[in-house]
Amino acid sequence: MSYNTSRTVRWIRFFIAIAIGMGLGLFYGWVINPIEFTDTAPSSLSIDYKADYVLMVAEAYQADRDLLRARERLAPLGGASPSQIVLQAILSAEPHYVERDLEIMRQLQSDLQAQEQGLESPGL
Amino acid sequence: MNEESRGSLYLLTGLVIGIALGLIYAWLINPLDYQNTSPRSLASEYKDRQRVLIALAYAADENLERARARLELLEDPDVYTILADQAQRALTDGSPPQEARALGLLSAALRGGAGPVILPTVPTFTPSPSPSPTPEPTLEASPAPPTEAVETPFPASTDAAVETDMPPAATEDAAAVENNPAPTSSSPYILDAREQICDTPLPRPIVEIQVLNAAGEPQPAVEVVITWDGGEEHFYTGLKPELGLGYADFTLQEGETYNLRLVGGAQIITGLTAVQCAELNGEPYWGAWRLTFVQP
Repeated sequence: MSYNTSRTVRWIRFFIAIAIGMGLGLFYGWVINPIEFTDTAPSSLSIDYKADYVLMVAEAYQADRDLLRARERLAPLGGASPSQIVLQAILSAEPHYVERDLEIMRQLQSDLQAQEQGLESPGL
Repeated sequence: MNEESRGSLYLLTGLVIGIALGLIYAWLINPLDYQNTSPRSLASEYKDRQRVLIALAYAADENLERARARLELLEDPDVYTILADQAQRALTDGSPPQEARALGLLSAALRGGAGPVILPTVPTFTPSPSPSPTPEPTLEASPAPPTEAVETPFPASTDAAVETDMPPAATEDAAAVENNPAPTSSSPYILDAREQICDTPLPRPIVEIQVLNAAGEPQPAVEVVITWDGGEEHFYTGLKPELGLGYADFTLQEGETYNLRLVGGAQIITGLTAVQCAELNGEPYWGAWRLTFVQP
């Protein structure tokens, strides 16, 4: 084997070693020891947890009927309007939640939407 | 270095470089989806909010198992203490009172298995007499309803400036008391015992409150209102579950005179001042008032 051929083979092996190392690194970084997020906000919760968060807000609202406070409690879930947040939660929860829970979420969503529509058209 | 050794080394170098690149990509460039976190990763501020919501939801649906499951998602090391501490903070940081109450109630329910608490409502007519005086009242509940309105006894006390005031409704005569319907679980609490405690020197004088239901069981989440000249404070039983679900205490200031009542109760306990005790050699130390309320 000529010197050049041997050198090429070595480079190829070198890059194969790098590729194998990258695979090992990715496996370790994504599967074995994925990065731990701390100090996150509710907006980053998965949709299931968001739905449960909304359900808790709806339960609290059912007890105190304080729509302003319900809005404040929903605010950390993100930038969408509160009624939109609750609607998304209802849609994701519908296949899994019992009707009673869905009902109080719908009640909250309805009240929020009514208030938002009232704010958008104060003259009506 | 011979050719064979060089071969192994460059492969190892490539492997190390590859692993480093892989980790940089996995941890920094494209970490796992940031948008699907769980409640345990929430910042402490949001965990506090989450606990409040869990407690309020529990207060609304009384589903303890659901509350427990939700709390487990936060992976708190000592959930009872954290809830009780948060309830204490909620009382002082301007949070709505129902949040502190809900947190205390949930903490107590988780710790003691206390069921939903039926809190006494403010009565429209409440005779609320004090129990009949007995030579040596104890901290045990006295479920037998009293038959006449008399001053609350406090035999251990040497403080002359203490007595139990009754609101106007409580001045009804004994006949009215006897005609009162049988007590229910929502009957207001009445003072059963008022004692000065000097058994242990305390760093500050305090008033201890114990609230028991008709069955003698400690009652958490009962709101206590204490007032003094120019001030008022609200607190709840059960926020120090290690001392009992029906327990609450409040630090008294020397020279100040306090009045205390339970929300929903008609009695106002007046003349609470810092209790000063004395060792045998005359050295003074702080003691406590112990007030025990029961449901008749």
